[in-house]
Amino acid sequence: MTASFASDWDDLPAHLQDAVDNVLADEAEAEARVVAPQLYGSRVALRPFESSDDAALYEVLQDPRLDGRRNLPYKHDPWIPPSLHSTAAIREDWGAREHFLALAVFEPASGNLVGYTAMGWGWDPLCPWVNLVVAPEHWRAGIGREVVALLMDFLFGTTVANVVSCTVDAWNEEGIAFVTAVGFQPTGRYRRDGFCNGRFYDTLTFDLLRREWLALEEARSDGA
Amino acid sequence: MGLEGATIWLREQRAEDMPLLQSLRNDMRTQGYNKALPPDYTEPMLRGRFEERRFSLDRDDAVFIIERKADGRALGFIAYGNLEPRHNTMVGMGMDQEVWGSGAAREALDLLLGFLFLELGLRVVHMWTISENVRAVKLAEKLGFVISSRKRESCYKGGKLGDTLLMDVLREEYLDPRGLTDTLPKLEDAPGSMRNPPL
Repeated sequence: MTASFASDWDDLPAHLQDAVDNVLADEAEAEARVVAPQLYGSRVALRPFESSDDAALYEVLQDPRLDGRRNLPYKHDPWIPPSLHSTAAIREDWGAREHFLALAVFEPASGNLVGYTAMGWGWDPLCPWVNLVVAPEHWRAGIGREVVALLMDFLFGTTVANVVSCTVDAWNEEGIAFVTAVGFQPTGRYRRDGFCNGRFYDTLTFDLLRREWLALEEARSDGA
Repeated sequence: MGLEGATIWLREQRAEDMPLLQSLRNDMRTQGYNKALPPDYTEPMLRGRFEERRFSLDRDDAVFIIERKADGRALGFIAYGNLEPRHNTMVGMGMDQEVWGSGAAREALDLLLGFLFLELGLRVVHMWTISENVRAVKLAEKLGFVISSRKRESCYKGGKLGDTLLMDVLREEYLDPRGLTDTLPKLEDAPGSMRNPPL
């Protein structure tokens, strides 16, 4: 015999039906009070990766303008574009990691992949980190700024994060300009963190406090 | 046997070290600021972790017991992990509070740095601590570490928000004060280039 919960409840005696209806009404009210994470912006949206994204992700990763900026999992060289096979392995690695979320950045209208982003918090949700890669053909179109807003709203709105951090290689002037423009504060560097062009380079560290983000949001809404 | 200093050894862990490691794990003064909480570790838990270690020639971590040469007493541990060969690693340590201020921690860290720079050929060594742990910061600074990054309000201990500090010491910052000559190529000046990096 199969029966849905609804039909089971419909068959309850009247006094129990009243109790069930009251519980359901309370749950609906509670659910209405919860602010759902807003991962849809005006131009882009974020969602988990699917295996059907592999070809599009592979295409994004082939662009030489992303050399050194791919933010791939440990042991995947950021200077070498991955093969299609490695791209699938990267996507699977992202999906398997704990306390970590990698999301596809796509245009809802076309469904096109225009970048990817990740966040993680290790053992401590007080201080998560984020990273972001936008496909070069979409640079300077405001996509990065919109994704950061979605990420911050998600982390500060649905988790207990107090500070969000990110890193940018010291040679990546565009990246440094971007993270500071969206509100991140410079906090130091990992010295000699990477090596290219026959030289070591530092990785710069940045963070953004909850109160700083909220103040930025307030200023933006005041100015709007 | 391990790494020998003037007054201490850094040697491998042994089964008889588990009570010391358990007590350090459960000491809020030494481990209370990190994910090691709560301080309820049992000796079998530590023994299980110890016994799970397997032989490998592809190692990216180590745990040494700090042993006093004079009487063979185990004083604490010192470790490194996330090793990138010939490049960098992260170190950490824990000492029995009875020997704080004795110089053993400094000698142990100095000894480990010597191993990392002169045997493993690393270019930089990192360590994490918190702003409240002034003793750790001062100890590291005496050995050449500097605070290179400060993650603001990212740790919580004793009811207070604090900063997480990244400290690091570069290869020449270890070698030069000790009058040691570096025979590895100075990679900062090496010829050759990769694609695209706008350095």
